[in-house]
Amino acid sequence: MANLSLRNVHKIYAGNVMAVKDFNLEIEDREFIVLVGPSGCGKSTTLRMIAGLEDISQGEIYIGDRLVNDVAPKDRDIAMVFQNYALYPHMTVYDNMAFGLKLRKVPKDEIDKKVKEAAEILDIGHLLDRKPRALSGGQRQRVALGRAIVREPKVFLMDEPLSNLDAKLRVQMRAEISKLHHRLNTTFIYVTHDQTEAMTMGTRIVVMKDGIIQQADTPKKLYDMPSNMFVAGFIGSPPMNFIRAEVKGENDQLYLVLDDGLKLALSEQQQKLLKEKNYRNKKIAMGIRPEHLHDATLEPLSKGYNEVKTTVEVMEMMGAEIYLHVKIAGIPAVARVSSKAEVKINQQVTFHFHYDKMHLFDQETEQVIR
Amino acid sequence: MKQRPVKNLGWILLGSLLAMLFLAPFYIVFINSFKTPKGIFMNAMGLPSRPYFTFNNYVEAFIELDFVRSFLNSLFITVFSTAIIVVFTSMAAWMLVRTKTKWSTFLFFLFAAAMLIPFQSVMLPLVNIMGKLGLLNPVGLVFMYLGFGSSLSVMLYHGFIKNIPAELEEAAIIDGCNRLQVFWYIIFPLLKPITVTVWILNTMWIWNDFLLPQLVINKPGWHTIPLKMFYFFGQYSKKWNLALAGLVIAMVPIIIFYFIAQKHIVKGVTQGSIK
Repeated sequence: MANLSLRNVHKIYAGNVMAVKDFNLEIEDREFIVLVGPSGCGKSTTLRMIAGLEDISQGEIYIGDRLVNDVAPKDRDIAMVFQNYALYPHMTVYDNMAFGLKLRKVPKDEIDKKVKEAAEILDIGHLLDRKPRALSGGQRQRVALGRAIVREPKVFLMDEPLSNLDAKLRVQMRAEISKLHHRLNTTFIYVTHDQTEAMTMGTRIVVMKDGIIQQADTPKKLYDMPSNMFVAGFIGSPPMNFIRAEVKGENDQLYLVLDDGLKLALSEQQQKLLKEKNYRNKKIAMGIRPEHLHDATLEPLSKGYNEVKTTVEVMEMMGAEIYLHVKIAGIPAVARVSSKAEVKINQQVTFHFHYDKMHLFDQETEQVIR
Repeated sequence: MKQRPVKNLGWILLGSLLAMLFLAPFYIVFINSFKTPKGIFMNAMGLPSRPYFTFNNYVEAFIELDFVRSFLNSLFITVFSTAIIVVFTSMAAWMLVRTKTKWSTFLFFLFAAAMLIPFQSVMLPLVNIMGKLGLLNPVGLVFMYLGFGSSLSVMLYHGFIKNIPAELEEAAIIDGCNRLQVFWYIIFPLLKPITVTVWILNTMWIWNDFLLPQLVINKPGWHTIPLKMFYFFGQYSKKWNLALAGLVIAMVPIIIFYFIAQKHIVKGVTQGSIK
């Protein structure tokens, strides 16, 4: 168990390719940190730098109080689970799990005890004599986890461990890894490109893009208060709708005007903010999550809301809810309404949404206006 | 599926003919090894018959070949040469695959290019240099075999190692392996199928090699089986009966070796396909 500290970490590859740029993060003991972002955002590189599989071009990484920049991976007290499991094909499950302990010259009976304990936790006790090729994907995944568990490391590193599993198994393993985190009470650092995995598992999520941290926060805050358009669009499924708007106002009253001329009212607070930051007569991006667009006939809002009328273009029935694909001021948008809603394609719908559910972003910097 | 007996028959005939063609030399060697010299010249293709039938060829050939000694010499040279080739070339190929620099590419092509140089064009300077180094003996021979054998072996290993995921090595490093341990505990066991191939190819070649030992080994006490065989073919007389019996004796160990190793090849190939 340990806290981790990454200070001004850079990774520069040959040819001046910046893979990770000025990465700063303090990770508390027992946190479940998820690094998430599109491919090529530097999340795996960051994890590999923590593991010691990649050199750190600049900056410092501390595990506990120890600077580990020049410490060999085996001496960092970490364990790692790889995307393709990386089980040794010529060894049995037992030997795969025992290998690290054998190298560390742990007494035989102790190895045996630890391997069997881990096998029990993961429910793979009956597979110990098998070779990896005789296992299913999910079982291999468990063995890979087991190999990490027996080492009792201070930090668990996982590099997209679920991406080779089918959808159903992925959901199941997601829950198991969360359970494991509670049970082992250790620091987990988990890399994924899947925002659902990030949201469901992480105690804190680090959203990355182009080697730069976009936002590091709890899932709830990330969702409710994204700090820029990238985070807002990346977290949440279906993603947030962005609609161009211009800030207009007579006297003291500010409001938004969409491309088709529709006026949207703003809350007192939003007006104050836009005034302070001098956004009058400027273009901005208004973001609204699909679930905040309420079907006016089914669940009308009473106070402090805007109204848009539009036509349903595509309907996606998800079971408990329906995704309605529409256009708002000519821009494609998605609304997520209850499946009780009685709508048809090409039918007119009216949506209500609260002022304070609108996210306002600067059109140029893409940063939230706050 | 429809059976086409006529067409199948054609294939079977063709196959049998080919098999006979390939087996003919073995047949001739084997049956004539049981004949007296007179019997061989009277009827080389027929089965040995009474007055000319003899087992004596084997006894004499065994003694003339000094078989136990020359067998051990061949064995020593073959085992050590192939062992060194396997260890050195597998390690070299591993490093060449995992090191991505201009130099490693250059080295790899150097290995490939070396295959194009005919042995005959380098043998005299080689013997000259090795003589100056005092290495014209079985130990020197082992190193020469390493040199001549490494090109093909490195190529074979190189192709195989490319398909081993680097994550395996990273997992081993995190588990606590140093470089050498990664190689011996993880990589080398995975190379088994290709190692068997490399091992067989080199064993066949070195066991049967005549020219290089002829140039290098000048002490009769160190002569290998192929060198000893040469004594049956003098300038004025050829002892065919002994030579053929000697050939049969010499073939036995390598054939046994081949059948043992073959099982592993087949196993290795299927193992790879499941992955």
